[in-house]
Amino acid sequence: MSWVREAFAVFEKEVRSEWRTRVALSSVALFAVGALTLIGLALYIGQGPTGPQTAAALIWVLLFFTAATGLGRAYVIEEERGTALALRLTARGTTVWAGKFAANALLLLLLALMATPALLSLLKVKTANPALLACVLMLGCVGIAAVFTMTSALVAQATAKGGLLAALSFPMLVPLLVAAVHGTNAALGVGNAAGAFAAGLGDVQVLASYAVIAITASLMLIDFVWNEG
Amino acid sequence: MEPGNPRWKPGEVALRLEGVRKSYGARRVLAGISLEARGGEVVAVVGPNGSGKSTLVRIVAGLLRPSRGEVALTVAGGAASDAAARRARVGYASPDLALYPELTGRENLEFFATVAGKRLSTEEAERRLAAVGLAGRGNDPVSEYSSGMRQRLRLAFARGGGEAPLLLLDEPSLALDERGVALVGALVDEQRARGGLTLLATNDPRETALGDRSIVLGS
Repeated sequence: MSWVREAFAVFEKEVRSEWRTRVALSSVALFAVGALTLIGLALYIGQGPTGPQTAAALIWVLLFFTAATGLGRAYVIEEERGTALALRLTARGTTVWAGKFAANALLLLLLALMATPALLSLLKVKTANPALLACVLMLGCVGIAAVFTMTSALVAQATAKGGLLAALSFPMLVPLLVAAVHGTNAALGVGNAAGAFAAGLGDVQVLASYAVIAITASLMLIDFVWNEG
Repeated sequence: MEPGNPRWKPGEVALRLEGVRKSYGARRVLAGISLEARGGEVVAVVGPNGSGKSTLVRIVAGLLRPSRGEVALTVAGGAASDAAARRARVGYASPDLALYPELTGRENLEFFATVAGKRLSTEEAERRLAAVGLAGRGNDPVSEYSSGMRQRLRLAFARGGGEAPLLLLDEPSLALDERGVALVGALVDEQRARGGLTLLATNDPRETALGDRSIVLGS
């Protein structure tokens, strides 16, 4: 119980700090609104129909790049501000990671919750199976948040943080993104709910497995990354 | 600051450094530092800028790995040889250590106590702030603190509830006024009275005078 309480304290601190400073929130919101506006303008100019494949790809392009913009700061900001020293002295590496991961996942899930309906409405794409779509989005966001939180810890003490973050995260996220795009396409594109579920079930399994592996591996490795001593 | 009853008996707290070296690439910062110190002692680590005082303190705190050598902290017969065990037993303040500017002073103390697995009531947090001269400022964000007030908050963070057997203070009087300097003296006296050990990295003669002995790092 102590571990959970400590991890929750980190999560609570992350949310409170973010609410007061709005550093990640503003960059994530700016990127998401900018991307949605550009997509809307392109559709307005093009006037062409948009299929579920394009919609699925655009949703994950939006979520991936927004995550790269906002979530990579989790550990970097601790090093830049000098608060990492106090954290290292007092907290366990695993509780810090878990709290930061939970806060990142929450931010990305909130973004997905707001941006996906807006994007689907702009593209005029209907959802065949909303439950499947919600499941794919949730598991995909959890996996992305886990990878970006871990890579943020890896690059926090490097000099070229921005470039390294994307370079390290993208190859790790390719399997997740393939399953996420495929699963989203199934939830949007297959005619009825049952057909969509059958088409997307395998992707949900891949996404769930990916999330479990990413979280477990991060918790096992974070002490080696976080504590220099 | 009240010294309180001794928490550790003579000899229960001991620190031993043996041939501690630290290099960054070809640049050697520490060249074989050895030291033995016991609870109740105050050891001043002095030397010119760049001589490795802060590096030594960080190594002892378990925040930095030495290139060579050993650090062993013993508390009541239990050895804390690895870095993680030492981190849990030290109180640490240094100019590089920052607390969260968007949180209040009280929130900072509560947060760091909670993640360390301890419970800290609001009243106790206020008492700890009052002990470093920050009474009535606990609900202000740290971003609104002056540099001297931030240093006092660092001292409150290092002191905690007075439970650390080893207190590591790196330039503790930095940015403090005369009353603040007296506060550092009181903090060191309190640690001594509890039977704990203090390591003071400093160039300030007022702080050096607090030490029972000094080790001088090379130029």
